[in-house]
Amino acid sequence: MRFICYSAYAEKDIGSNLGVPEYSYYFVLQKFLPLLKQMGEVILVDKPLQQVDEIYLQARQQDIPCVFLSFTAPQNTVMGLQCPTICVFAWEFDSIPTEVFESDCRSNWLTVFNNIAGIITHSSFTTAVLQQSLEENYPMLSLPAPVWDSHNVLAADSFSPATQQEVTLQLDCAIIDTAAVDLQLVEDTLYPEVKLPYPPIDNEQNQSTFIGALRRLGRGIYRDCLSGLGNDYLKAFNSNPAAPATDLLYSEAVSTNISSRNPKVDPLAPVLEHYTDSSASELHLKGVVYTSVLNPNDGRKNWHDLVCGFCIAFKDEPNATLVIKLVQRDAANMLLDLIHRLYQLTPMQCRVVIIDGFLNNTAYSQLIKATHYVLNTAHGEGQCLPLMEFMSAGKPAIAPDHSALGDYIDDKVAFVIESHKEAALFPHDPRATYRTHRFRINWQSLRKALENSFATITQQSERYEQMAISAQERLRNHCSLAVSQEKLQTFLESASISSAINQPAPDSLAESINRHAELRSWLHRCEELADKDGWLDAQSVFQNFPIDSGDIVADLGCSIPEASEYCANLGVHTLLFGQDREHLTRLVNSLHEKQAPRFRAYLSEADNKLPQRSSTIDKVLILNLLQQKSDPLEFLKEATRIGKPGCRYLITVPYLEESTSSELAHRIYPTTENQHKFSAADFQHLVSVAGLEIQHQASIGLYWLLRAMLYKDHNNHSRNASFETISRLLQDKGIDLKQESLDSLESQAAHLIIARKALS
Amino acid sequence: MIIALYSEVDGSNISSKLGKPQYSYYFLLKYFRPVFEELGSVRLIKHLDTELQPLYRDCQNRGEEFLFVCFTPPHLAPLNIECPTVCLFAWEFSTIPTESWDQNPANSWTHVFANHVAVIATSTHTANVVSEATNKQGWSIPTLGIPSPVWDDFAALRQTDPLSHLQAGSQLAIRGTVQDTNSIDFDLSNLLPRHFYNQQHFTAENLVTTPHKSSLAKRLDKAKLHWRNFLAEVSGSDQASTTSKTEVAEVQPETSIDLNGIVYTTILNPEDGRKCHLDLMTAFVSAFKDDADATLIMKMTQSDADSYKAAINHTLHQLYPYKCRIVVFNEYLSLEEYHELISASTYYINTSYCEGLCLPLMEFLSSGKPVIAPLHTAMEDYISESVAFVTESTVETNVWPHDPRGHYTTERHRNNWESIVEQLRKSFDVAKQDTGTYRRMSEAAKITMEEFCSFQAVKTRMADFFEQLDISVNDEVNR
Repeated sequence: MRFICYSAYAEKDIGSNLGVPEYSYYFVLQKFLPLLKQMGEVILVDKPLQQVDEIYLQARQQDIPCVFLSFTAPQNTVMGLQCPTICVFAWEFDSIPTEVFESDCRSNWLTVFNNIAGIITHSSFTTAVLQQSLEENYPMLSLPAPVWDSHNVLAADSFSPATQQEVTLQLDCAIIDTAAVDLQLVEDTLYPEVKLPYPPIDNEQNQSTFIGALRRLGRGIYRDCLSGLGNDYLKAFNSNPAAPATDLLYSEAVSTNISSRNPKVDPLAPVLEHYTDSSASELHLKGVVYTSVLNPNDGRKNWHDLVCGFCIAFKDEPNATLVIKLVQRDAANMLLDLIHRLYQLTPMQCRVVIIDGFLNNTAYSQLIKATHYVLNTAHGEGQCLPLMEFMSAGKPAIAPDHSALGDYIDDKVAFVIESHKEAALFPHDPRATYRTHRFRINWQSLRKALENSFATITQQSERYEQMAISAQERLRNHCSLAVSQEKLQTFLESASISSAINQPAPDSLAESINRHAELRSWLHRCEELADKDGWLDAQSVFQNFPIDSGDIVADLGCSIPEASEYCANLGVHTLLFGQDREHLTRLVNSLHEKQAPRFRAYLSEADNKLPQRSSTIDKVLILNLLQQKSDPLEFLKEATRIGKPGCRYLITVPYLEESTSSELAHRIYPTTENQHKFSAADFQHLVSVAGLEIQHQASIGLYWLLRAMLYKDHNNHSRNASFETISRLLQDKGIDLKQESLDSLESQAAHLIIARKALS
Repeated sequence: MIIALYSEVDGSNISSKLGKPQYSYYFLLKYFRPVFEELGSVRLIKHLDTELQPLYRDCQNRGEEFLFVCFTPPHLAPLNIECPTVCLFAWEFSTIPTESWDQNPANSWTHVFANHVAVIATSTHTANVVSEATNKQGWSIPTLGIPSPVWDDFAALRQTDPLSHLQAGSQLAIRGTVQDTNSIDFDLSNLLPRHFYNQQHFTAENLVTTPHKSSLAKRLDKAKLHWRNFLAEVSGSDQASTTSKTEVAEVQPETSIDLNGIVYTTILNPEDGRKCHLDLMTAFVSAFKDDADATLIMKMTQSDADSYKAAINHTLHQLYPYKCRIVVFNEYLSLEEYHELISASTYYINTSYCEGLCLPLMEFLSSGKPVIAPLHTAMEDYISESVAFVTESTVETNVWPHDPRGHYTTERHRNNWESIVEQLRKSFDVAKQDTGTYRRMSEAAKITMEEFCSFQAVKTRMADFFEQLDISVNDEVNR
């Protein structure tokens, strides 16, 4: 048996991408590897469209059964491979997306499922949900990640709770510990104005009418107009210094809980720095330790209920400690929120420790061992690896029994938190429509469960022991290697899967693989050239056009979305302007999905006006846009208006001169969009007349236009797939690469000018 | 006995105060005034600083009993005044502030009450909360939980058949900004994702510098208002109220809507998060996705429709597709129009986290309209299975809304969303197929509310309460 496996993030990316939406698929794949390796040979790929069928062909030629396990959400799963594909994914909602949004056919999962061989998901809850939409015999398996064996070794020999012993953890990452910090600092920082003496309310009887009226005026103005002004201003400043005029109101409940705090200007930022002890190498834990491992940027994890529930339940209990291990790329936003929240919960006797950073296996094992209870308050779970891991090690849980948790949570192994359904959105639906349900935690029952768990461990240690033993036994049946192997074996031997993986590869496959190889070398050349020109490399958008950390960047037209994405992902303020709603929406969704920290999009109908105040921008990108403008000069002048003195402009127009041999460029730019054709001299003249100083001028190659075209024609925003999709698109457009001169890759695709607005 | 009454807002500027916190205190005063008129001679105080003390001195001199009833939240009630004072207020949380902040001792309500002769809250729940707080500090004060006497005003409606609107349907004339799902052309591609600003009508000049300009502008408006009041006071003219009258005069164009089927009505301020209108809307659509026969009327007590319109429209789109209908409007209703709205409704629905009283809920019940509501806080006084489809809820931790520190010091109630959906379905079936039950609930509502908030009932309870109070002034004068 040969398993080809793919997840969107590979080992090398995972440190920096901890917490991005697809990250958990990587972890799930890692957990499955030991099982798969027991059952056959595993080959990991990072570009499925290019690699899978080639590996499949080789395997079939040697008569080895071969299957592709795609650890991706269905909408990100590659369709149309010859190799039988099984999508391995987690899902926690009570329905699945069955409509097309953003014109990507894969957003309707049924389309995907009907084009692949089968599904592996991680709970009977999810398979039941899927069965409602799929035909009866659709190949489907509920298989949780087999984590029991590797974590059961951490189980103590005796499960009797040792709450009096102090345990020391060796960590090498930042921690925030309420035992070591003074939360009063938050009040002093956030509310300096509440320290002002309140104007006294008095009613001296001899007050003249005038004095009385004056006092009322002063008091009224203070109360209604001045108090809290500082806060309002800070909020306004934090949310966006670069000025949107109208805000679409989004309710807290429907947004996916991405914190809007900006660590750079948040008044609590210095406090956070003060609190975060990054040199901490030892964490001493005593008393009853509750642990939760979660990604706080994932609203589904519901850390707010967790923290409030814990701190209220144990307001007067110094022997209760909550350890939150964060799984997140950049936790600063959440930590600011959390510190604020902890301050709001003061005074409290219990202790909260936040571990912000990566824990190696030893440290993670230490944490599991030091824990008495594992805590979860999520709105929904596809399986919940941390909960399974802690319970496998014999740690009873405090958790709801909804969604996937229903498979292993009940009152023998956990203090069950009640929950009920509420209306919810699919997290990847950019329109944020109500299409499904998630689970609302009964907060009262959460508090009760916490109190009961504490009473049990301190007063009924036998019951605790029994729960611990039951927990590890329960999880053995749920996710041990032995149980999992049997399930997977049976699934692979089932009629439909077995016939798919054993049928011969089609004859045409070899030919098409050869063709892929050619495309690959051609496109590889594109990447090389892009590197040579410094296109979106570590330092610059283009060579000699660096972006500085404090910059406000405006991308006008966003014709080459990779450039906007590049800037937004640098963390600089990025403003996107455009007239094409669909195009802009797609870009915004993509940036949102990647959790780009600070960007705003502006849709406008006016051709030559920008909704932006004068002299506010540091870097302006105008890529392949001017040729479409009714009045390119007017537009350039408008672009000049918004730049600060010394603002730098990166401007390109397509190379569309009649004399050029670049037929490819002609084919790529739909002629209808091009009102103007600029020669190098025209272009230079235009920029000068608009009032910009030209600093650099060049002719650049086709490589980046290919990217633009890709974005325009296709909805797949994933960077991983872009390379592959280009080759498909070229095929679709009937462009035969063999006939094209490689010259066109190197130059003659666009004119480029780097210019500057005068300093005075 | 002289009873002096005071609230910050008076009738002249009520329309522009729609949805403001002081607004509900104006209504409280309006409803309670006749009760006090039965118990003594009522004087309305306009200017606290100048009118109260002379009035009290005068009473003392004449040896007449005096009571000052202050219709404000306790922290805004005057401190250190000599006359016997009672604060009459609405409160909806499980605790009251017993600590001070901002160096303002009045923020500790028990500190305020220590100077008062009694406490009147609009619900038994809150009266109990106050007693608990003072008991904890080792002292006590007479407390009364009593509703506004609204029952009598709805006599005419009680005479009509509560289901008459079901036969012929009804026509409702509404004004202001109307959002009606029957006339929205739903296009989900109009749903813009986060981080998106639709700027189709901008000029470079009118761009503002911060998204919170509106908040600053509001502060500026308030400052102007205070300034106008100040000018009016010192010049003795009535300029301030004249201005507000012109504001009232701007009547919005009228729209007439035809209503059919089962009509659910709610009245709320969308900016007041406690009303939890998102639960209401999502549960309503979830319950009646395929029922063109169900309508939800949301009357917004918010004069500035721009502050909520976009968000509501967004939610209406997010929920699409559905066959049920949602109508949202915001203009102030005259009494007659309000009665028409009640007649046209089958049920009132409330999904709040907490209530200090909930007048509209009581008014619909008093008119013989059963309701869908949770059973907590003030609603414990009058909601039961016999008059309502009771939705489930459980407590969650919360902050006092006026505490700038935002400490988690109190509790409110989290809805069980599923149970809202269930009760909506149940109520729909009852109105459609089991009118006997509906009518029984309607009759029970009338009886419950008569006992609870008829003028007679409230007057009797208030009079009994006054008997316990020590408000005689004679001793003091003689001394």
